[in-house]
Amino acid sequence: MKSDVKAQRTARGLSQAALGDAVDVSRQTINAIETGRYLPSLPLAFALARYFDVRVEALFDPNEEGPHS
Amino acid sequence: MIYQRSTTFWIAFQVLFALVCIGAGWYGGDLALGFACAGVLLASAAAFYAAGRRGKDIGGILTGVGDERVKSIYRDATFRTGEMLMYILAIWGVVSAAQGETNETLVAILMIFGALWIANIAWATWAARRPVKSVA
Repeated sequence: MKSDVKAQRTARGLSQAALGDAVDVSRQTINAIETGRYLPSLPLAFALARYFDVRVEALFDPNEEGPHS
Repeated sequence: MIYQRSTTFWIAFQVLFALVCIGAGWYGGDLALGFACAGVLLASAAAFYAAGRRGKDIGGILTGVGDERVKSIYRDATFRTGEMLMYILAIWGVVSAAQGETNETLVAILMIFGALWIANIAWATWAARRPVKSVA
């Protein structure tokens, strides 16, 4: 699963901790999602997509492999 | 959930249980065993304290209090521990029986373990039928 979370976050100049606070998870969880070590739940995936104002499909691509997949 | 308590709760619980161990050892006439049991529990409480201070993530994984990833890791670790314990107890029971030393306490623990497992499967099956709460 390829995640575009890091690109979206850095484009907005956000730290992992700030994004974590925004979607109510820890900095470590954001890091784990960005590095492909954790697949977020559906509610969290939607919360991230809503926060970045993009579609979930734009944030996560199941057809491509992430860094640790 | 009953298994998701704060680090403070688990430290207090372990300290209290250590005192109970000492009391039980004194009452049973084996104070050394009581102190040994209390020592293990106090060491565990100290480990919880140290881990909780080192990082919120580690503290969360130890206690199950945290975000969805922390809870997922905690559940996975708890499941594995339970599964391993089940095999260890079963093998221990079989070996004891083969040696002609049937341990009644071990048999009782195995029966309780089995009954709890079935009860939890029944509960989880029932709980899975309920609609999932939407997350804002």
